[in-house]
Parts: sequence; C-alpha cells; structure tokens
Amino acid sequence: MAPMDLLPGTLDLLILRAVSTGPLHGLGVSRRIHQLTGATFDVKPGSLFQALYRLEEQGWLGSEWGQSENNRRAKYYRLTASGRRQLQRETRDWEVRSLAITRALDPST
Amino acid sequence: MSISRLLAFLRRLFSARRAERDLHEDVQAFADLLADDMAAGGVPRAEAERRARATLGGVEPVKESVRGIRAGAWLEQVWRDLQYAWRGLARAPAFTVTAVLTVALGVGINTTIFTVVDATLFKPLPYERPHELVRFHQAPGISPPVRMTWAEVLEWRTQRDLFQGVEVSTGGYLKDWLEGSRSVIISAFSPGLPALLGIRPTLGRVFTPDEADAKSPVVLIADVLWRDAFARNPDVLGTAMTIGGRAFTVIGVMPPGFRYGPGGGGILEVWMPMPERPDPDIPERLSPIFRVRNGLPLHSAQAGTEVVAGRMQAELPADQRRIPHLVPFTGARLLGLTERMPGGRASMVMLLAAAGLVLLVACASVAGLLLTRGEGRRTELALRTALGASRGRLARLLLAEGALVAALGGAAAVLTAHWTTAGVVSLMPSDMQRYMFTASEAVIDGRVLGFALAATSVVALAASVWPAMTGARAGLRAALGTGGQVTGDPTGRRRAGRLLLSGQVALAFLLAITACLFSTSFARMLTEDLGYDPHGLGVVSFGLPEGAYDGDDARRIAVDRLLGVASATPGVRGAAIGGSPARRMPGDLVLPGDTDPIATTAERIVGPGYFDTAGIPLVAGRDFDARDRRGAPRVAIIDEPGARRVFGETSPIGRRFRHHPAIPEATIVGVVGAVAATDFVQGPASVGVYFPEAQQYPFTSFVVRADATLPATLARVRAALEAEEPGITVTAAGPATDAYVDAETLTRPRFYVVLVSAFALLAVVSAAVGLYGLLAHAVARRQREIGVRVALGSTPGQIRRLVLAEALVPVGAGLALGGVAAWWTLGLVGSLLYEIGPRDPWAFGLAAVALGVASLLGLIAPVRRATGVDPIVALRMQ
Repeated sequence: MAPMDLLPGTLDLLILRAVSTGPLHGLGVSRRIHQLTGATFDVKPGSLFQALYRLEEQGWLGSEWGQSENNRRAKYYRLTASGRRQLQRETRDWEVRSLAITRALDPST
Repeated sequence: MSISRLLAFLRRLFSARRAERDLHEDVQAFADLLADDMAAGGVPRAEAERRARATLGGVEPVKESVRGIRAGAWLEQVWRDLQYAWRGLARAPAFTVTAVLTVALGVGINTTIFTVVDATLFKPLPYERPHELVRFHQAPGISPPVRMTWAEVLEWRTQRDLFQGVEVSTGGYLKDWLEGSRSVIISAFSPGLPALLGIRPTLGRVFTPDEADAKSPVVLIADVLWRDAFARNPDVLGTAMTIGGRAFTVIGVMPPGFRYGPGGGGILEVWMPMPERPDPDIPERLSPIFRVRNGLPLHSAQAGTEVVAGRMQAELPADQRRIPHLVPFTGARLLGLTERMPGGRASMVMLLAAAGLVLLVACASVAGLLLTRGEGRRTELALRTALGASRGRLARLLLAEGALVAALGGAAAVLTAHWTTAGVVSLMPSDMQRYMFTASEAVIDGRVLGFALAATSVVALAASVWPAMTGARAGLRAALGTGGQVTGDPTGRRRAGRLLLSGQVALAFLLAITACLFSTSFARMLTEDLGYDPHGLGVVSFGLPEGAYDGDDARRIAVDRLLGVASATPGVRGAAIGGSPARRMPGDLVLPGDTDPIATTAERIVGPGYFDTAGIPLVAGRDFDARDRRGAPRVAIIDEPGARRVFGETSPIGRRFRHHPAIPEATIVGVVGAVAATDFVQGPASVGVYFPEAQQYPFTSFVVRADATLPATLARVRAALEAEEPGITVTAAGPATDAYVDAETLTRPRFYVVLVSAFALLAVVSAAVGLYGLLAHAVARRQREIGVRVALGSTPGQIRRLVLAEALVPVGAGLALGGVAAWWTLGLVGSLLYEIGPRDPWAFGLAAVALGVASLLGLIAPVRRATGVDPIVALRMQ
C-alpha cells in the first residue's frame, strides 16, 4: 500500500512520540515516523519542518546542534518536560477519539 | 499567542540573522543526510543529491513555509518586504523620485486644501455644544441676521423655556492704541457671552456684570494680540492700555478659538464690557446669539420663537412684522460666510473636488510608473518564482514597493503641509481670510493628519494593486517560459491600461479647461472698462470720535460738515459720500406684489454728487439730492443693464421695488451706467442698485476726485479732516482702484486662478508622466513583436505609427470624455466667472492644446525607444 496522507492534527502527536525515545534530527524524525507507523504514513518535509518549528516555539520540543552518525552537523530535537506532558495528554485524547470512532464504525452495534 | 511563542518571536527578533542561518542549516542537513544515505546505498553522489532535493522539494520553499507559520511571521514578512522594496527603490532613483514626487504633490494639494476647507466649513466651533447656538435670521436660507434693540433682547431672555441664554456682541471698531503706536480692532460683548459659549479665558478673568453695567475701563485681549504685542507674557494682566484716548486695564486673555469673536467685522483684538442697556456709542442693531434650551429640538424652538415673536410684534403694522428664523451658528454660517460671501462655500467645495481630481490623476500616473517598472523586472520576478516565491508573495513584494512610494510621498506632503497651507492662506483675499477662519485656524492637526493618512492609503491601494497583480502574473508566466509572446499583452489587460490612460487624460482635461476659464475670466477683469473713471479718484474712510455724537442725526450732520471740509481742500475737484464704486454689497430685488426676488443686486449707499465725482454717467432721471431725506419717499437709482434685465425696454423711472421682503419699497428716480462687477462673487448677473445715504445710515466714507496728484491730495484731505475733527480715525485713504480693486476685489479671483491653474498644471504633468509610463510599458511588452516587424521590413515610420496608435486612441477618448464631463459639470462654476461662459470654446481649445503638447512630450521617449529596437537583440531576448 502506498503511504497515506496523515490525518489532520496527528502529525504533532507522531512527532512528539518519535522524539520521546531520544533526540533526533529532521530526517531522523521523518524516518522514525515512517518506521513507527509501519510505513503507513509519509510526512512531507515541508509539513515536517513547519510542525517542528511550531512545536519548538510552543516549548514542547527543545533542540541543540550535534554531529550525525556520518559526521554532519545537524539540529537535534528532543522532548521537553512540558512536551512530555503534552504527549500524554494527546495520547489520551487520541485513545478516547479512536475508541469512539471504532465503536461508531462497528457494524455490530 | 502563548508566552513561549511570544518569547520565541522576541528571541528571533533580536537574533534574526542567526535564526535564519539555523533554519537554513537545519533544512540543508535534511537534504545532505538523505543524499548520504542514498549514496551509501550505491546511488552515484550527484544523482543522490538531485533525488534528495526532489524529495525535499527545494530548500528555499521549505524554509519559506516554515517562515510562514512562525510566530509574528506576518509582521516579519511585511518588514522583509519593506526592506526589500526599499533596496529596490534605492536602486532605481529616477523612478523613485518621479513616483514619490507625484504622490507628494497629489497628497500635498489635498492635505493643504483640506486644511483650509476643514477650518472654514467642517471643524466644529470650539464652543460647548455648538449645535445649540443659533442666531435669528430674516429667512431660513442665506439672509441677513435680524437686528434688534436691547429691550427686545431682554424680552427674549425671559423666554427660559426656549432659550438658555441670549448674549450680545458688537462688530469691530478701529481705535488708536497709544502704547502700541497702532490701531486695534475693538469690540464689546455682554458679560454672559463667555459662559453662554462655554469658554474660559486663557489668563485672568472675564467681565463681571457690575463692570459691564458701569462700563468699567477694563479690557480682555485676544490670543493673537497677546502673542504679537505682548510676546505671551503672563504679566500682561494689569497692563494699562490707552485706547481711543481712554485708559483701560487688561484683566484677561481670551483663548485662541475666540480669536475673531462671534460678532463679525474682522480680526478682533480687544474687547470691552458691554452694558445691557441702550448705549449711545453702540447702535441698537444687535444680532444676539441664542443658546437653545438643552434638549429642545431646533424645530420646536423655531415654532416657539414664532409664537413669541408674533406676540411681541402685535402692535407693529403688518408690513413691519418679521418672523425670525433660527439658523445654527456653526461652521460657514458663523460670521455669515454664506451671507456676506455668496458662493464662498461652493467655491471651497469646488476646490476640494478639484484637488481630489488631482489625486486621482496622480494615482493613475504612479500606477503607470509601477507597471512599467514591473515590466523591466520580469527576469528578476521569474527568478524569484523559480526560487520558490509564490504568486502571493511576489504580489506582496510589489505591493510593498507601491506602499513605500505612497508612504514616502505622503510623508513629504505632510512635512511640507505647514508651508503650503500658509501659502494658500496668504493667497486668499484678506476679507476671505477673515470670514473663513472665524473660529479656527488653518493648522495641521489630528484631523489633517488623518486626512493625509487616508489620502496616502488611497494612493497606495489605487496605484499599486493592479501593477502588483500584473507583475506577479508576469513573473509566473516568465518562469513557465511563456513570457515572450509575440503578440504582447492579452487584450483584456491592454484595454485596462488604455482605460486608465483615458480616465487620466479626461480628468486632466477637465481641470485644464477649468483653469483656462478662470484665467481668461481674470484677464478680462483686468482689462475691463471699469464703468467709472479711476484716474485721480480716491477713497477716504474714517471713524467719528468715540462718544462725540449721539444718534444718527447728529452723526449725519458731522459727516456732512466733514464732507464740506474735504470738498474745500485744495486740489479736490469734487467729493461725495460713498465708497469705491467697485465695492458693493449683495442684496435682492423684489417687485411689488412678489415675495420672491426677481434678481440679485449689488448695492451701494451713496450721497448726492457721487456719480458725478466717480465718473459714472447718469443715463436717465436724476441724481439723489436734498429731497431724499429720512422720512421722504424712499428712492433708488439702478444701473442700465440691470434696468433692462428687470424692466425690459420700458422706462424704469417711477417703478418700485424692495431690496428685501422686510423693507419698504423704493421708487427708482434715476438710471446710471454700469460699473464692472469686478467682484467675482456677485457675478455679472447682479443688478447694480444705489440708495441715498440720507435714507440709510450715516456713511463714513468719501470718494474724492483730485485735480492734482492723488496721494498728495489725499494726504491734505486727511490732514484737513483731522484738523476739523479732533479724535477722528482715518482708517483708509488711497486710490479707489489700488485700495480696493487690486488689494481686495482682485485677490479673490486671483486666489481661484492661482490654485486652479496649479492643479491643472500638475494634473497635465501627471497625465504626461502616466502616459509615458503606460506607453513605455507597452513598448517594452511588444519589443519582440517590433523586432519581428523590423526584421520583416517595417520602416521606422510604420513602427512610429504602430506605437502612436497605442497612445492616440486612449488620449482621444480621454479628451472626449473630459470634454463631455466639463460640458456638464462646469455650469457649477459659472457664477464664479466674469464675462465668460462656462462652455467657452476657446477655453476648451486651449486646454486641449495644452494636453496635446503634454501628451507629445510623454510620447517622445517611448516612441524613440520603439524605433530604436534592434531586431537581433529583440529576438534573442527569449
């Protein structure tokens, strides 16, 4: 199956989730989302960078410059304390929503 | 915006360069890392880098999309656009200077005229609740105020359910001020006037009722006198002023808004207290100011006033009863701008409209210039599109340029507005100044700045939106490789350009015609046979000594005695009571049985021998003489063209008329030659009417016919009068033409001529600039086409015709449109013209020639550029 476009509003959640296990650079975030979603979703770089900068401005992501595995200078994004709280909040919201939608779509009810 | 976003914005604001570099490296790292991965997977390095860029969709577009969502992105972008626009303008100084000057002139003219018109017509009076202030007038429209006695004023004061207050002030008298070694204009008002108007003195206090009752020797001075004579010294209170031989003490300074006072008669400088009873020094012809009771609608007050007036006049004979009409005491009405200067209001509005036309023409010119500039930058715009600038972004860049030009022009206009306004005001005749800036001065204030801002915004929008859209589209098309169509512009856009040009030419033509009409009219006035003999004719005006004569009869005897002295002065061939023949008052002519006037009149009050002295021929009937006294049947003399207009070919002698519905009829006893109506405002259609001084009021002005040189004779007359009557104030002694015709009567037309001509000149120049802009644009667009034509053997003459056709059709259409517009609208200025119809073919022709010449000048450069197109270069341009 070809990669699908993301549902609106889910990109932020996926980015927060991607960096929750450790700092990642831009391409790393993209790869991690690809991997986490089993290659279902593909994030366009434009949207990715927009989201990264927005989340950083909101204080949910922090960043510092570091060296990549192949010795390139890159900006690494990491989850801040408030970002972690936001991730928990959004995860809970997502569970409630997806449960509601799954239930609504279930033909047995 | 959350706090963290605000902080992020501020951080970036202070380290903008670093933030930009970080963003670039961040996005670039994405591409590099991706390429590294692919290269590691065996793809050749160059191919890997190409693919990585393709995946990313370009570094610049990604960066641009991030910039778009960042906190304060909008502000940042506007700032960046303006910076970019600034750099762009700095690189094109010729364009920038032309465009900024065009805007500055358009906005400047409008700001200046608005400042003047606002001060005369629109600005609310600086009084408390000015809408409640009214005066009694003889008719609801333009009419003289109702005059009344103190007894009547006191009776109106008892009508508390109609009026909160009734107060009185007088007109100005010229009096000598000993310490200042000059004359001051002095007036008086009842002590309650400041409270009625709701004003307080800047310094000191106002009169107490006791001071007024006792005619205490105290005065209030005007802000203007405090400034000019006392250098705003706060110690002015208690200063002694000897005015007209009497010692006064200054007790207060009135605020600037009271500068001209509400009583009329000029720039008032000093006020004395006015006792609230008949005063021998002040004639009982009071026109008080009423404040309508708070909350009472004007029409209710009017109805109540009619009832009370009916009761008060019950004993009067029916033909002497007058219904007072409550007329708000605001704006132009104040001091009778509309009464004493018919057309004053209309001419002000006309000037504002003309200035508006200039602004429109300026907008069109700047739009044309921006269009041309956009055309020259197609390569640059295409490059920007290729580098990821969206069409909206390009449009914004171009808009910023237009906005910056408008802002610079607007700023220049506002910075110079102080001087231009002073210039326009100084062009105004002094009587116009006096009556117009009654309560407020023409100064640059918040209202003016607001207006200038609005005008500038109009220019920014009107001039730059279309060029911005066109430019952005052109950039996109060029980027797509379809920019160099052989056919040039799409028809729709070409039509829009021509429409713009036609409109511009039409407006400029309209203004040019108006200017020609005014100039011709002015020139005719200067060369006019005056209808009287101005050579050796002088006018001496004077004021009788204060308090020396009680009542009209005593004053009249004194005036007659002084006339005898003037006539007997060596060098004087004749003298008579009356002023300069060119200066007359507007009035109405009502035939018996009618209630509505059949004509307007230009009136003058004269004594026996006036026509002989002034050199005005008596055509029929007789001059005024000793028979025409007070109490004798009222008589009048009419001028010949007026008589023919009103009475046809039948003799007017013995016919009767009233010069106001409220005044008894007068019988015509004589017909005299016409005097040129050099006063624009009265217009040539006014009927010249003369009334005998003896049946009016004592008139303290003589015409003097000199045998010897006029100035020396007038000096002798002045000395003789001063010797005969100690305490007399001679206020003017000069030639009848110089003193009045030149200084007063001709300055008003000159005011219109200079202003309207300046407007027209600017509009024509602007139109030429606009024409140049649009045509240069068209030539640049069609360069390839022209190249093809030249390559196929077109001669320079054919190319010239091709380009000219582009211009001549819209210019012709504009001239036709402007001509039709002028034909319909210029009837409005007919009353301001002298001896020339508003549809004078010469004026139309001259204006058309002026525009034709200007158009040719605008055409030269683009046409030369077109014929100079090198086909090789043009075809390679792709």
